[in-house]
Amino acid sequence: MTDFNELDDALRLLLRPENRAVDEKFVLNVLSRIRRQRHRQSITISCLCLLMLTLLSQQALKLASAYAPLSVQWQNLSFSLSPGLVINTFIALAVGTLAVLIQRLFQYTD
Amino acid sequence: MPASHDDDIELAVLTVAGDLNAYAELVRRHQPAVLALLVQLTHHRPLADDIAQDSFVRGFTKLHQYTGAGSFRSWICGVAYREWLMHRRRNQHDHKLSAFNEDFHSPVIADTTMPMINQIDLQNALDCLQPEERELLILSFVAECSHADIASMTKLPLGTVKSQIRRAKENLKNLLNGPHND
Repeated sequence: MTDFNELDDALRLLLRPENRAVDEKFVLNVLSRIRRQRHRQSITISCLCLLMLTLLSQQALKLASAYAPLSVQWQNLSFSLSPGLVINTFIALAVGTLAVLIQRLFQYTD
Repeated sequence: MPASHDDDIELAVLTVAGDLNAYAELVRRHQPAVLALLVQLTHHRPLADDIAQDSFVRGFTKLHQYTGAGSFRSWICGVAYREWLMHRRRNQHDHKLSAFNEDFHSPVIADTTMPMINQIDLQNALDCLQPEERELLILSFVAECSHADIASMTKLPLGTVKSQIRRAKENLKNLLNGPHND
C-alpha cells in the first residue's frame, strides 16, 4: 500500500533536479543569446536614430536652397560648398550606414 | 552546491546592475531545475533544452521584476512554464510534441536507490495522469512552487489547484497500487 508521504518522497526523488549535472555549454549558449539580443537592441536603436536624422536632413535640404553657398578659403584655394551638397552627402552617408546596420541586424537575428 | 536564497538575490541584484557573470552563475544554479521541469512537460529533451534557453534569456530581460519575495527557482520555473505555454500555443497543430521521446527518461532516472516505489513505475504512472494534473504535480515538485504561486501561474483558483493536486496524487496512488504493481 502506498501512502501519500511515501508518494511525495518518491516524487521528490524522481523529479528532483539535483540528479542532473550542470551543462556548461548550456550556460554559454544562454549568455551568447543574451549578448546577441543586446546587440540587436543597440543596432535597432542606432538604426532608428539614423533614420530620424536622415528624415530631418531631408527637411533641411528643402530649406537649404534658400541659403547662399558656403565659401571656404584655404591657402590660395577657394571652395564653394552649397548647403544642399553638404546635406546630400550626409544623407548618403546615413543611408549607407543604415544599410550596414540592417545587414548586421540580420546577422544577429538568426 | 545548494543554491541559497540570499545568494540568489545578491546575484540577481548584480545582474540587474549589468554583471553578466552573475547571471551565468544563476543559470548554473537553476539550469537543472528548469530543464527537469521542461523535460517533464515536453517529454522531448532537445525541445526542453531549447525552451530552457529561451526561458533564461526571457528571465534576464525580466529580472528587474523579481522582487526576492519567493525563491529564484520558483520564479525562473514560472518564466519557463509560461514560455512552454507560449510554445504549445504556437505549435498546437504539431502532434509530434505530445509524442513521447524515448530518450527523455534516461537523464532523470539516475537514482536507483528508491526503496518502496519503483521510479520507472512512478514515471509511467505520472505519464498516465491527465495533462493538467501532471503539470500541477510537476510545478509543485520540480519548481517547488507554493500552491498560491501555482494558482497565479496557471490562473486557476487556489482551491482548484489544491484539489487537483490532491486528486492527482490519489490517481497516482491508485495507478501504483493497481494490479500490475502488487
